[in-house]
Amino acid sequence: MFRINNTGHALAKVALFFLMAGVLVGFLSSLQYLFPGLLNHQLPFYISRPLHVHLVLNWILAAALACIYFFISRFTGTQNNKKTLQNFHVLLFGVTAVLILINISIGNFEGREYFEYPVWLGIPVLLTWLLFLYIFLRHSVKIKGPWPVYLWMWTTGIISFVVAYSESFLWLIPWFGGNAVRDITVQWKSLGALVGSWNMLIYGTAFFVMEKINGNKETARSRITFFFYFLGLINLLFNWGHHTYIVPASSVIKNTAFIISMTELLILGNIMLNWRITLSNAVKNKHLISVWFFTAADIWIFLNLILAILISVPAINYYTHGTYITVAHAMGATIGINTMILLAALSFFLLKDQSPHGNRWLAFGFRSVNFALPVFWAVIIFLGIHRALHLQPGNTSKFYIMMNEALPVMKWFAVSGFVLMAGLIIAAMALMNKAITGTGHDE
Amino acid sequence: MNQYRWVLAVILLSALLFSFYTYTAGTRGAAINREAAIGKIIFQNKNCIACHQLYGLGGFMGPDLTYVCFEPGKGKEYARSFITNGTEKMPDFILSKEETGCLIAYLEYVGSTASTYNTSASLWEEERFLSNVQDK
Repeated sequence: MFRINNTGHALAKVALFFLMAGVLVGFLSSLQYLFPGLLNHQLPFYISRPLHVHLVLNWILAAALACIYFFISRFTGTQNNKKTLQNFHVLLFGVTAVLILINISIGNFEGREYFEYPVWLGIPVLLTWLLFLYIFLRHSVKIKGPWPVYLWMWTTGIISFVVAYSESFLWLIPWFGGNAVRDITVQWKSLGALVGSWNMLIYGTAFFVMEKINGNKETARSRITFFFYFLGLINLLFNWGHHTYIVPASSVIKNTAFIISMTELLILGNIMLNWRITLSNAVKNKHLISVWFFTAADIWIFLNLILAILISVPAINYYTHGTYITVAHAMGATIGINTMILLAALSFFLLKDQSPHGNRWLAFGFRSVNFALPVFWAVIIFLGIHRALHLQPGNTSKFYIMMNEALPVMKWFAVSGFVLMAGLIIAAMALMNKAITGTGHDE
Repeated sequence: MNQYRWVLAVILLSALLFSFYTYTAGTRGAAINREAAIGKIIFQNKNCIACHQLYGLGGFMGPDLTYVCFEPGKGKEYARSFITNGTEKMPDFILSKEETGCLIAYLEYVGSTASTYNTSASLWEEERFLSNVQDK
């Protein structure tokens, strides 16, 4: 019988594996921009890109699930002999992820951007999340008193994932799929809500770990925290519309998105900044690696916020949407914010000793990532501006000329991408080592 | 949290109404024809979106295809030559003549809905009008 003694640990290992594989494939994809013939027969770009996306997406989801399982095992008093459902859930999650990756690897496509795999695989994905919702709620209802914000965020994240993921398959119904404008509008809507749903899972994890580090229960129960939760929920439900500025959809959708804009990140940055100030040095030193990663996430929130506000302005968005600037925003959010928060949380759960001396490789990985990421980010923004200039009305230069002009800068994209990949792999391996040797908090 | 339940209820109700609006009155455009519908399936089966974009959604290895069939200096034959022969970066997917036709019909259909790409559309219309006048 398939049995896992510690679900959180098992998922953390799976997540770290996905992270390492994801950045490796991502680096190979970046090389294909520089050397167009590279691996054209073994791993063409139309396979390597979705493979990279799915590996990284699985890293984010598996790491968030691992952190929630750590919560379940440590704070709801789950007995090891009552874990059959949890084991089945992890098995279903893993098998589905592997089936998706196999189908992408052999070029068996049927779906759309981000869900390119055969449509039937959407069923086990949905079942995985419905089962997780049941497991999570079954344990969370045992918590006495008003729920802290992270429980609301996790519940919202799981439910909205199920709803938005189902919505992303509406194109199968002719009413949606048979009208290009409706189709693309609903696709942006579902993808936007999906990003919002895993942001809820990650931010919930951040609040949970922050509360446990500083020991102040107010961190996850104050009015400002709940204000942030509602703002996040509004963003999840309505903010996707800024992607549709160039789609001939209703202006109501676009105006709503512009008004709501990107306030969510500002509030989170504010809360995290206040949280760090309230930490005593003793607490900081005890959880130093987690505090480093949270601090990095804090800085990336502000940097990404500036970019997000700029590209939310319709006049700017008209030129920047569909350029690398959108990629810079996605990379800043995925690596700078989400990955930093998840690595902070996994460090909290997996490390007993958080001193840099005892975690030299992890500290080295952290420094490498935060050295390379600003260069990587700036290069992508530069490439985005270059492409936006190319897309200006009246510019008749050919696409390949634009790509050739960008080649010297692309080299920096690959070099910084290599350092970023190495840093993330080193950090992930250091954490994986702790997870395998079982020297963590949770033992 | 109990004191916030009305806030939550209002947000969720608004989201439901907004979804309904998005699905119905918030969108317009012609329905897809059979040939273009087949083209859409081919577009998805070959994962063209990995390298190309439609309405800003997709990859960056190749150009945005939203308006490729109508763009000045491009057009259906331009698209056909790329699909048929491939390039150093773009594989030749070895599509039949019919499949290629369906794929182009799909791109043409998408382009016909792209009223926000009016800048190049109006330039193209103007060019075509002037050349017609000169021919006559």
